[in-house]
Amino acid sequence: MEPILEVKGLRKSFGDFTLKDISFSLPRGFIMGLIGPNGSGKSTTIKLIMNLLKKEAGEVRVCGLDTDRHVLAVKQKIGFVYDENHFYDELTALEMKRIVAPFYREWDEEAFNYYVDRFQLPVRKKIKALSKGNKMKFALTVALSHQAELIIMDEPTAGLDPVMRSELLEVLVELLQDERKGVLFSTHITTDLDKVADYITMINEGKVVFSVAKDTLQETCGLVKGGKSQLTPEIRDRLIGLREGSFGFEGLTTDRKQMEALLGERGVIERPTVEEIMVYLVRGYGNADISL
Amino acid sequence: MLTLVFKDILVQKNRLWLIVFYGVFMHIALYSLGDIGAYGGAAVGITYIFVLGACALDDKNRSEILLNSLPISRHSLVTAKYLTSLWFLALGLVVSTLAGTVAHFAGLDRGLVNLGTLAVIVFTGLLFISLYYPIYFLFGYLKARYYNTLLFIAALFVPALSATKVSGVGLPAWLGYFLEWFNRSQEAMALGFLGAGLLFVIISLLISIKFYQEREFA
Amino acid sequence: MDLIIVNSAAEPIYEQIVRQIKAMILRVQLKGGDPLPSIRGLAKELQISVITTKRAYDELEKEGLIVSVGGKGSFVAEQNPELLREKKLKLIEDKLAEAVQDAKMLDLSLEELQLMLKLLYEEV
Repeated sequence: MEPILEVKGLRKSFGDFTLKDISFSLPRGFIMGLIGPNGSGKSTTIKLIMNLLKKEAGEVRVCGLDTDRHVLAVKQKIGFVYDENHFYDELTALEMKRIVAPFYREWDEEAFNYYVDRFQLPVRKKIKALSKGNKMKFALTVALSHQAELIIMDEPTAGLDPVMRSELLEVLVELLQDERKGVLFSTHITTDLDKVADYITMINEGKVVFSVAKDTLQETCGLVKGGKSQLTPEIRDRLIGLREGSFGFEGLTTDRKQMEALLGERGVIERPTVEEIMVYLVRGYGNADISL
Repeated sequence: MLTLVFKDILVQKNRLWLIVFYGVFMHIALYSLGDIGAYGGAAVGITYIFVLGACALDDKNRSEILLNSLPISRHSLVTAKYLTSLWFLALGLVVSTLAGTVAHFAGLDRGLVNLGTLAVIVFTGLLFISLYYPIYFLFGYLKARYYNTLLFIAALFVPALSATKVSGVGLPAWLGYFLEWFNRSQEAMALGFLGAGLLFVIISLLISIKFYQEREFA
Repeated sequence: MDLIIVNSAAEPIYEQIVRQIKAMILRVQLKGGDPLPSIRGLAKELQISVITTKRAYDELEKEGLIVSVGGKGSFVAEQNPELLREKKLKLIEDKLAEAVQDAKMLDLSLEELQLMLKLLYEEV
């Protein structure tokens, strides 16, 4: 089956920022986390996928359909949740639903009611009066109520408390019980991804740093720690984002096996979290050879 | 598409009562401008306020990002905005006419609305719509704001100015004949104004669609 | 069937799953033909990546402990009794080896260790 989302060679520039050669692919049935520091190009990538920005080069396919040629068909298949509320403050959630629903051919009122119940959304209140969390839940409810196959989320957990974030993740995992679906999830709160993400794509300074399965990432990368005397030039050269203190050093390796051989019994290599991988890669970006 | 028109009305439902207020207020404020000035000022004023109101709310809620993420084509979004404004223009006409009629029967110096007046007002409304939207769809609400202030002032005075009869002196002969015929027959004038207004709207719509296709939402 | 996943452990999550399911099969808590939760169902329950659970099942399948039937899910493989016994023996051997290693660290002699084993054997 074709991937649910395929991004090839995307390019876009504004002023001195250029997003280039963004390529990745998300197979059906999986969750992909899109990570990177602020201003790295995550939102731009998502806006290009959603046709909110015009790409200068490259192509995007959703369920095998080119997003430029099948604009409306593609949007039928996408459910979206953005970092900010874009619904009308002046309307109640129910009124807003009445505006949005007619545009979806496969609007599913039952699903809508199910999520409204489950999230205990006060749908008769004006959107202005909803809490930040409820606004996100409402957006999520709309995204899940029209048989969308691809759910695209741009920083959906920004500003949400941990309980609500975990509720969101639970819904996503449930959604993937249907293996035709897929989720693209941009976030800088990477702890959300440590658990549920299947693939991680990292963007930095407008370029893809890596796009791999999270398990592979956590196995090939390692957080190396050791005493100062163990930091031989060979090891030093191979560590990314090296940090030296008075008690020892810490750095990231993208080749755990090689590092184990170099280090012998003397040092420790930990399994890094997604966040650690991101932090070290960003810190060491530009002066390290990063290949995954 | 009608859903979008409905949306533009619904988001402003709390201020719809203002329509009556504006209808009466404009008739009083523009009392000295004569029938066309007062009727037109009220109708076009209402159109202006609610068209801009809808655009302002789209801007405030950043909802163009939402609308453009839904399965709606950009030309539908544009066309819907034009339909919305036609609806507000119609509403403005009705309210303005009612207010003027009441003034007339209350014994004030106000004539009843006639076909000619109506045509000039509709034309002005359509002209406003045609001039405002392309700039709005090209630059967005915020950047179009200065421009629409100018338009507003123009919109207030055009009805009054077009009320002064055009004299045919110094114009080419055929235009002179045309204007003469125009001045003689109210029906012809109405038809002329309406036709011209619609033509403007259609040209404007096509330009707006073209502009909006290229818009980006950062 | 209980599975306990420790996120902070050094042991990768897929290995934790493999180890625990393997132990259940060897202890015959899971018998031949018993259905296992679906890959996606397990991922949902444990709130982990589908890739991780899939990998664990692949591993178990490679070892001949489970079989996957397309469209129906995964089941515990019918075990050859002799093979099963051998696997269990291997398990005991591994554990003993671990004990021996620890004993050597404390400089226990073979006799002392044997005595300990004897006492334990009679006790349990």
